[in-house]
Amino acid sequence: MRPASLEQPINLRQRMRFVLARAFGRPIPGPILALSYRRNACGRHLAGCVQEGLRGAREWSVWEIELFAALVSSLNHCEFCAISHAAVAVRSLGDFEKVKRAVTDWRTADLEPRLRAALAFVEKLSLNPGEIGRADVLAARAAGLNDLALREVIYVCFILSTMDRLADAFNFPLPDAPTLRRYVSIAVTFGYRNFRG
Amino acid sequence: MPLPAKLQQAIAAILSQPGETELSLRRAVLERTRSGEGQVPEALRDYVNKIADHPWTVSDEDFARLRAAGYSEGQLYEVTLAAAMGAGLQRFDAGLRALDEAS
Repeated sequence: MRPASLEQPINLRQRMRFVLARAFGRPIPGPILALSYRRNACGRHLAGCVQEGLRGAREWSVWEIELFAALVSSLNHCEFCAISHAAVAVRSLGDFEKVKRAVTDWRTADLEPRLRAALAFVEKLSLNPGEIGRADVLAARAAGLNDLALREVIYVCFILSTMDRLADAFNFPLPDAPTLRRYVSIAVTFGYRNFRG
Repeated sequence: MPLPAKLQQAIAAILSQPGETELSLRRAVLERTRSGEGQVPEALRDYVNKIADHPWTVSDEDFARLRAAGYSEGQLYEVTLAAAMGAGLQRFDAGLRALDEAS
């Protein structure tokens, strides 16, 4: 991680948490280090957004939300977030191939029209936010998305557009396979509440 | 259409809580990546632009250069957070604007 100070506990509670985690050989995930560092400055609020945006959706299932997250991260070349969210999507759906096809080539993947339209919208919003407009919303509506569904997609795009940049700038370490499995289990069971640190 | 309340709290926090950088700098960085309008000091400009457009190219050398220019780790943390949030907000704003245009 950079800067190195992100890996230092900032209070007694966090120091105890870090000591316990490291005693069991468990690295502290990059997002927790980044958002809990000076958490009152912004991190705890941003962590609240992550939980709300990725687990508070009413129009999408968990695997669909995680798929949007994985696609945005893939478009942003953020390996840490792309791998992590794709893995959560796979665990939630139970279909590795479908998630893989959707992330790597959603245009030809066998997907419901509503989901395909959401992926088209989030891709354009990620790559060319200045070009998204009325026609894109009308196209999404024609495929069955209501405005709440679009708003939830937009929220995911915000979260990952922000977190991908933090992951790259702060150089979040990539998890090994056992660590990734642990991250996925936590994300599936508890969501992202632990990002508050 | 308003931003979610939690997100408004996050923005208010980064633009109002005491830190190692001036509030005006954090605001300028966030506006730079959100709307392209903030005036960022020249020493930070390349780094902030990188976060906005090619974040995957940020390297140890960027941090070393900025440390050599006098920025502390805490200051770089705050600048990075503001720049990343601004880029995210650019997308939130654009998405909500499109929804408004279609209403």
